[in-house]
Amino acid sequence: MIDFLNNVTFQNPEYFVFLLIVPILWKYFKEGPDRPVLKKFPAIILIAQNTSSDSTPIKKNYLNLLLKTLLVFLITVLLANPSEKKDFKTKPLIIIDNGWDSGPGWEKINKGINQFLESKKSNTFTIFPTVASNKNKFNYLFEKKEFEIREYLKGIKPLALKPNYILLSKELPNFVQDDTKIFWFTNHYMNKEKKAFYDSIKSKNLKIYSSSKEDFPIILSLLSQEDNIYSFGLINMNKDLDNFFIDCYDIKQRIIIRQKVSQDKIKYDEQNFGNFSVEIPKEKNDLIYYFKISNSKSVSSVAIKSNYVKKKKIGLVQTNFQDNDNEYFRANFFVRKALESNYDLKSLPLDQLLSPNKSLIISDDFDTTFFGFEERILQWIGEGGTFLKFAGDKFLSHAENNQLSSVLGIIPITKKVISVDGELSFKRNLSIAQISGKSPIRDFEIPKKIKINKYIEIPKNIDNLKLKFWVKLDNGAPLITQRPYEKGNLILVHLPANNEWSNISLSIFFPDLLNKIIQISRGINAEEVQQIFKPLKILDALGNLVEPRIDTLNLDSKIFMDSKLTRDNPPGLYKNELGFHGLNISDYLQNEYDYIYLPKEIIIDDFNSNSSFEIKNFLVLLCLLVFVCETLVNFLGRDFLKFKYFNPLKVMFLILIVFSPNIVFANEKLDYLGQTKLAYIQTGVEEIDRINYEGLREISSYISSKTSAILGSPIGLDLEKDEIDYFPIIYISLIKNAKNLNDISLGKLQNFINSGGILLFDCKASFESLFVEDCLILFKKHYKNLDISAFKKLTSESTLSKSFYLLNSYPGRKNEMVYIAYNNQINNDKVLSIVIGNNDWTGAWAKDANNSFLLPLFENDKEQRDLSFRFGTNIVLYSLTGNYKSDQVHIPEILKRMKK
Amino acid sequence: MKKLIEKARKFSAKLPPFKFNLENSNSFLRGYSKEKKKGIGEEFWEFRNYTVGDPVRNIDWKKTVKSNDIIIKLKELETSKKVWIWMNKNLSMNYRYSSENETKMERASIIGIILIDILVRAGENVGIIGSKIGMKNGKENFFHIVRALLECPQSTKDKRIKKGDVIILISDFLESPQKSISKITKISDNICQGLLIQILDDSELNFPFFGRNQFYDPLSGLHKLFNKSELIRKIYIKRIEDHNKKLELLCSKFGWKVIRNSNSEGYNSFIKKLYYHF
Repeated sequence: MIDFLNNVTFQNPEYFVFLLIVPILWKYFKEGPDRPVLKKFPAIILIAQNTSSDSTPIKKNYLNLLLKTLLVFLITVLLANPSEKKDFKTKPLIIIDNGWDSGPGWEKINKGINQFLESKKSNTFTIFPTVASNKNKFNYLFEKKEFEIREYLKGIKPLALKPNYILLSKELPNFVQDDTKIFWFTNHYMNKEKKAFYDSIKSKNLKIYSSSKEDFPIILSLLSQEDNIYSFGLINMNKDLDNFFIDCYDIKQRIIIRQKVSQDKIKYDEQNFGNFSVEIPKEKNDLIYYFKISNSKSVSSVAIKSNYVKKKKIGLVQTNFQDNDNEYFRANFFVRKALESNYDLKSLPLDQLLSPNKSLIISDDFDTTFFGFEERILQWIGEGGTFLKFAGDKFLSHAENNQLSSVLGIIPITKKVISVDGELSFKRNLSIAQISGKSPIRDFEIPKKIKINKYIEIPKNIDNLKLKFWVKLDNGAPLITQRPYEKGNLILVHLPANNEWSNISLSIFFPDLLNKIIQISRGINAEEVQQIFKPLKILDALGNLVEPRIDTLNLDSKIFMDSKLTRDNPPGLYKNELGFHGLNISDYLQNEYDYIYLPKEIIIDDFNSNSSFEIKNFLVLLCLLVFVCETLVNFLGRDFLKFKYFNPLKVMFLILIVFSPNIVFANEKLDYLGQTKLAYIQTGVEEIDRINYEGLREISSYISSKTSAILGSPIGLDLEKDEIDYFPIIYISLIKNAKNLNDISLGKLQNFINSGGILLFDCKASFESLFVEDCLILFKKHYKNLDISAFKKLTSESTLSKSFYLLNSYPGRKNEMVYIAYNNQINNDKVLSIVIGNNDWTGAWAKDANNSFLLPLFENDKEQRDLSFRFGTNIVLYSLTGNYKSDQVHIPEILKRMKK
Repeated sequence: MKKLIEKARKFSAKLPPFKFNLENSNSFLRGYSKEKKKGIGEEFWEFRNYTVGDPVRNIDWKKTVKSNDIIIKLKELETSKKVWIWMNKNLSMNYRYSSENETKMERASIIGIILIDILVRAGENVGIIGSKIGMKNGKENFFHIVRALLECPQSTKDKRIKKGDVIILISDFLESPQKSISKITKISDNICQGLLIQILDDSELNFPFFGRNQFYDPLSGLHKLFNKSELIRKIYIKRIEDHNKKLELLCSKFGWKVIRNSNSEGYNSFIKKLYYHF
């Protein structure tokens, strides 16, 4: 109490001058009776001789006098405007932790800091975030007023970066005096840096407002990928993680698949670092861009995969043969154009190219040095290199000169040029007939316009199984031939790489072909070439992919493995023409955090922003109470009230009426009745209840905007305690771990459907089971005692399908079959009593504070979200109107709309 | 005045002309009051033989021809009464406890006007004690009489009042009954017949006061404080009842009658009493 009084200050102390009148009041009130009421009464003459039976002054009631004085005192104190002492001697310093680990507790931290500002409005503050805006600078505010701090806080969001406590330790001493109060909004988990910072300021006037212990995020890292099997690492400080789910997202942030991870599948090492694998269906593997632990709110629980082609060094054999001014006929022209943007092309003499760090050497038809290095080429191929040879006139003339009948001795040739462009030819050209099913380019589409006039023939009917014909012409002759040789490959294209013999080099087929050959040319450990990735999406601290900031820089592949994560390249998805790279924060985090138990005197839980308000309220209440007491005492003194009326029973009755909880219940009932509201049964699972509330709030608002029904905010009900008869429809989430209902609760539900209510059961078991049949099993497990008919499929014939919109499907986040059942106990005009589905409707409706949908759809249908809202509208209006729309008068209009 | 007359006429218009049924009316003016004896009038009274001195015009020639004697036809004497009205207009009359009721003055004025109306219509001569205008009769003098009633001075002495005239006094009569009687006896040197109409406020009958009040009489200036007014109620009610009984008793000794009316009652109760007594 004394502490409380010490903390009270008066903003208008001048009003205390009124206390001077208290002695005067005391004196005069004490002197005599109240002034009589003067009344004209001519007949008083009749009793002129009588005296009042108590004509002596009334003995003063000191209790009355005391209460009057107390009332004056209280009013004076109220006028003096009492409030809590808010001012600090020095400006308080706020440190707000907005690092990568602040995401899960951000809401609480934000609420706390706002409460703090509200309670200390009159002060000026200095505020520091813990993440530096650039390498050596914090974006802080110095001695600003409360409203300026609030504006600043709007721009402060948790960032997917590590807090820079070392820099903060250096900066803060400039702002902290001996008596400066420091308020640090953070969590209990600390690594070495944070602990050192804490140690450096704990001797000051430090108060820590902490988020919950459970709010430290899980750290998920993608260790490796073997085709469709992904290995993950897991650091979980809370150790309360039971089975959980990994959501696999595509580039558009839609969940493609959700995989369950059982606790028993996670192998922990001595340092509590977990390991587990997830297998993704092969057909969906290519769609997946990143993984996220379901329902987590942290950047560290997101792992973005990388998938890009390493930029390789490609060797082009340098030729001096430039017999034509037209650049299109120059050696390597088309090859260079096709590859130069994506690869590091080195045009060198062949002897210089035959080095181990090249994975592919392309030799043009003009290459005359080819025949001088045949042995070295073969040796290089044998070591794992891929040699691509374009053969044309130049090659043949050299082959004839050297009397060669094969390429490098491994691909035989006839030394003939087959030309279909002759004067006696029936055909003017050939086209590509087929691509071999075993060919690496089997998925390529063949452009129809590709025409071939000439090609180099290889002997027919050769029995060489080592030759692989990727592409054949429509006369059956091979156009591209691969010959694996030891660790490498020789690929012969039976054409020169220009448009003399064909137009292949002008088509998209040509660069695609080259790229494919480059991809498979992995025989030699090719030196990786520096690549630049542009930021496509970056992660915020809540684990959401957002648009890159304006100061986000391109990512250089050389700094992938740098140990520091910088603001220039925050975690996220970076992309270039060769693929994408996922920069994950988990790559920069180690198992270095510990839960630190902080002293109680440092921890602050509540800033009690309403203290001054409460003081005033209390004083007003006290004034009223004193006034009532004074009045009662006054009335009693005048015998207006007599004790015989104060029957204790009556007094008790009055007290009961005033304080009876029934009155509160009645108010609640009035609240229910004042406006139509949707209700849901609380599951006890915070996440599900929140989504249910948000979803029903959204659908209520949607219905209010689209129809004449005006719906209030939804109400969460406890089936065991609350009355449920005031609502037209009740939404019930089916969850696997739900408590079994007692008979009273089931009786309430039965009464509810008997009185015409509708129960909408929505299976939230989708995390564990994906089919509506599982829902029905769950329903039978928990609600088997409900007296209802067998379930039927909901069809478009039902009035529910046309109560407002005409619907054929009833989707939520999923779009599966919905079942309905009727009540067996009463025939309520054939109105449905139970609707059950597995579509997670509230999940589809729920929006967050930023008006964006809380949960993605399971299926990629743009209209599905709209349809889910339409279904919500239909079922609510159906619950309000019953089978009204089945009335015959509506049929013509419905038919007309159906024709449209 | 106009409002008072309108209000009074609402009641008086439905009433028959009113005649005081009092003995010893000695007026010689012709009026409508039939005196149950021969005299000047319209109605037949008796036949008798002619005696010397009888006016010739009274001979009933038809009867005379049928008999041997000269027959005189006598008619019933028709006279009018002189009614004098006085209304108390002092400060005590200007009182009402509840704003829903009329003041005693208003009530007295309306009752006075009702009386004037029904008396004038009955052909009685009506005068206002202390006023300059004398006795008047006939409907044409109604307004003059009413104005005189409302404007007349407070003196109750009037030498014009003769023996046998009827006197109506309207007041609250809250002074002592002896004082009221002495006021009656001083009205005229002659013996008159009369009626007291006592107008009281409802609160003057019931004393509905609570708590600490200082009562005052505007007329005498008397102030009286009662801390718990409700405790004196019983005493007061007994006192006013005794007062009224004494007033009635003293009046009855003179042959006067008392009609009481409170401003919470209707006018009909007053009218019933009036017709009942007379």
